[in-house]
Amino acid sequence: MTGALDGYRVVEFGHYIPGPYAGMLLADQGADVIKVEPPGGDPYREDKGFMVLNRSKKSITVDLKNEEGKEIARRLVQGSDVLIENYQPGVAEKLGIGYDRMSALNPKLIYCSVSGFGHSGPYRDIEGWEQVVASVSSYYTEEGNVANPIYFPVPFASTYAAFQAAYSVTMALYARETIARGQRIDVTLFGAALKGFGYFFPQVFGRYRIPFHPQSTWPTTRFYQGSDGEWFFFSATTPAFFVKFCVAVGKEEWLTDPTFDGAPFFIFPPRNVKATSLLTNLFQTRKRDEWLEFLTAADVPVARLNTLEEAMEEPQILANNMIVDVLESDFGTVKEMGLPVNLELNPGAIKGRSPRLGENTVEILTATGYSKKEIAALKKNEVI
Amino acid sequence: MIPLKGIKVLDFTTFAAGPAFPSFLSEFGADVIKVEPFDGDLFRLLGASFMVINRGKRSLSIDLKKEQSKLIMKRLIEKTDIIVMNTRPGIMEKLGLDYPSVKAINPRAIYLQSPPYGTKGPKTKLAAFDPIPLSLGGMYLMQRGPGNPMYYKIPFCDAGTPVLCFFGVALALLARARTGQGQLVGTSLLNTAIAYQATEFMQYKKIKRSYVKDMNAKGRNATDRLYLGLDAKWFYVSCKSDEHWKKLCDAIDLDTLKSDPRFKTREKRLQNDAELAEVLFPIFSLGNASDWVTQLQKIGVPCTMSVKEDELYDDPHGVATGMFHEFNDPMLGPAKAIGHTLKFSEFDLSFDRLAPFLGQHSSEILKEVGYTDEQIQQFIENKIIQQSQDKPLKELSDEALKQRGYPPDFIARIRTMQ
Repeated sequence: MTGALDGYRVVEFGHYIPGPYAGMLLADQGADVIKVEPPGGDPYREDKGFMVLNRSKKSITVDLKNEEGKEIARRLVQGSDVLIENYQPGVAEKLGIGYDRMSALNPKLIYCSVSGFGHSGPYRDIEGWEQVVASVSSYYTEEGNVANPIYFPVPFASTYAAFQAAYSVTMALYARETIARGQRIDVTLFGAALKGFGYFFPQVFGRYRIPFHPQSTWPTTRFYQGSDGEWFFFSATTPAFFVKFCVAVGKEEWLTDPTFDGAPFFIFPPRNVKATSLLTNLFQTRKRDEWLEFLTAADVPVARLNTLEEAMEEPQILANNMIVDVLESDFGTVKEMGLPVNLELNPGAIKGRSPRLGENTVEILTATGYSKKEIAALKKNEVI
Repeated sequence: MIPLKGIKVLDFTTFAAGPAFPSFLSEFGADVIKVEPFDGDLFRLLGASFMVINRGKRSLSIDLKKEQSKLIMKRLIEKTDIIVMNTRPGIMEKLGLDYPSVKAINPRAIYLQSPPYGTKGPKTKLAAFDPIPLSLGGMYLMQRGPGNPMYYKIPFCDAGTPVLCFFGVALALLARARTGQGQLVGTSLLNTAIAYQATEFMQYKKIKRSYVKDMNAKGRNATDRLYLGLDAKWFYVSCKSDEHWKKLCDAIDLDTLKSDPRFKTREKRLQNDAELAEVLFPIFSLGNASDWVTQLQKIGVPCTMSVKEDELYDDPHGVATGMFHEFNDPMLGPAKAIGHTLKFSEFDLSFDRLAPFLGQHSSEILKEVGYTDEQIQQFIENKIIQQSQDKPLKELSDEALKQRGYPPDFIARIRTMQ
C-alpha cells in the first residue's frame, strides 16, 4: 500500500509557511517533493517551524538569477507534475519560472501560485505577509473590536491557504486523468482569510457581532476555573447539552430561568453577565479535575486547558498519531505533528527529517542528467 | 470543465465543521444531498451561518431510525460516490451507516469520517465543539503562556477541518481513478487544532518559546504591529527587512530616526523595542490611518487598514477579484457572503443553489432512485420521509418562532426585518 500521491513529483519554490506547508502535506501523502532554495536558503530556516513544514522533502540550492540556474529549474519542472511557488506576483516570471514559460515547456504541469492577494486587483503589489492580510481581512478587529483591535500570532491565513493549495493541486491531478492537461491555480492568503472565517459570518440582517473577552463572551461556551484556580473549557453548545448539564448539576431551574432564555446560542449581552456569574460561582464549588471527570461522565463537553507541553502528552492526540518523533540534524529528536489526514488503503508517511540546505543537490542534478563535470562547474560558478 | 460533475455526495453532517466541506464539493460541481432528521440540522437555528455553509445542497428529511428508511438509504448509497460523516463513532453503526455497511453496498464509495476527537483512543466517544480540541491541543495558552487563556473568536477547527476533509477526499478520488476502489478517509477537529499550530506544536531539548503576554496585543514588535491614526482608525505596519525599515524612516521623514544608534540594526531595534514603539506611536497618531496606508503602500512598506467587518464586503480588492457572493436568501433576505476564493484556469466553479429548506427535495430525490409517486406518498404518510414547506422567518408567528427556540429579544429583531 502506498500513498495516494506516490509517483507524482512536485517542485516547490516555497518559503516561510504557505508554499512549504502545502508541499509537506503532499510529500507526506507520497509525492516526491523537491524544494528549490536560493543560495542563502529559505529564510524560514531561522524559525523552528521550518523543520516540520519541510520534512519529507529534498533540498536543492539554485541561483535562479543565473541563466544556468534557470536552466536547472526548467529541466526539473519539465520532469515534474506539480510546481508550487509563493513569491510576490511578478517575481516568478523574473526568475524564469513563470506560468507561461513553464506550461509551454510542460503542458501537463499543475502550476500552483500561493500569494498574499493574487496576481491581479488593487492589492496585488502589497507584500503578502500574514499580518497585513489578517489586518485587511478584519481579523484583528473581529478578535477585539473596532476601537481596540487585538493581534494574535496564529498564522491562520497562511495555514488555511496551504490546506487549500493541497486540495487544489490534488483536484487538478484528479481532473488531469480526464482532460490530460495541467492548469494554473491561484491561491491567496486574502481569499483564505475570507473563506476560513468570513464563511461563518456573512453580511446579512440579524448577524450579531460577538464582543471580545479573553475567556469568551458566551456563558455556555467559555473558560471557567475550578475551586483550585485551574482552568477548563466548558462547551454546552447545543440546547441538548445544556439540558444534560443542568440536570447533571441539579440546576433544572435554569432551564426555565429568563437569564438563560435561548441557551446556548442566544444569551446576548447584557444577559450574559448574569449567566456567566451564576456559572462561575457554580464551578467554584469543586476542583477543576473533579469537574472534568463529573461532566465528562454526564456527556457534557469539557476540556482541560492545556499548555503545548501538556498537549504533547495528551493520550487522544497520541492515539491519533498526531505526535511523532523525527530525528533532526541539529536539534536531536523532535516531537512534532503527525499526518492530519489519513487514508485507509493509501496511508501516507513521513519520509524523513527536513533537509539540510542543498543536501540533495548533487543527487537531484545527477538524476536530471547532469554529469559530474557539469555539476563541478556549476558549483564553481556558484549556480548551485 | 466542471471537475465533480456527476459525482454524488450523501452529506450526513450537522452543525458547523461538518457541513462546510460538502458545500465546497458542490462548488466544484458535485450533486450534494443533505440528509436531515425530522427536526433538521440544529444549526438551522443560527440562520445566517447555516445558510452560508449549506449552499449548493438539496435536503432529504428522513427518519433513519425507521426500518423502511434503510432500503431507501441502500438505493442512495448504491449510487453515491462520497459519504460525509461527522458523528461520534458508534452512532452510525446503530443506523447501519458505518463504513463496513456502506462498503458492502458500494465498494466504490469514499467514506469521509471526521468526528470531534477521532476514531481510536480514550476520548472518541465524547462530544466536542470547536473550542474543546483547541483547548486540549494547547492553542489557547500558546499566545500568553501558561495560566493566561486567550480565547479566539475565530473557530479554527470549524474553519480548517472542512478544508482538510477536501484534501483527504481529493486524494481518495485520485486513488480511486487509478484503482477503482473507494476507501475510508479520516480526520478530526482535534487533528485540525494541531495542524493550525504545526509550527509551534513541537518539543525538543532547548526549545525556546516566546509569549505575547499582553491581552491587548497589537503585534509582533514596534515595526510589525497595529498603530492608531489621527482619525481614530487602526492600521497595520509590517517591516520585515532592513529595506522596509529604511523606507519607513524615509516616509516618516525624521532624520534623527534613521541615524539613531538605538534603532540602527534589526537586533538593536528588537533590543530597544519598547522605546521604539514609544517613538513611533505618537508619530503615527499625527496622520490619518488611510493616509499612512496609501503612503506606505506606495513606497513598498507592507501596510493595510485594520478593517472592520462591515467594510469587508465592500473591500475593493475583494470585489475586483470576485470574492463575494451576493444573493437573496429565501429565509433571511438580501445577503453577501464569501464566494469562490480559488482560481483555476480549467475549472468552472459555481453555487448552483442556495441552502435548502428542511426536506425541500425529499420527494424529488426519492423519485431519482426509482420510487413512484404512490410509494413516495406512502413514505410521507408513514412518516418515513418528510416533504417540508418552509417559510421565511418573518412570515412565521411568534409562537412558531418560540417553538423553534428563538428567545423574545431575537424575535423582536426578526419583526424589524424588511
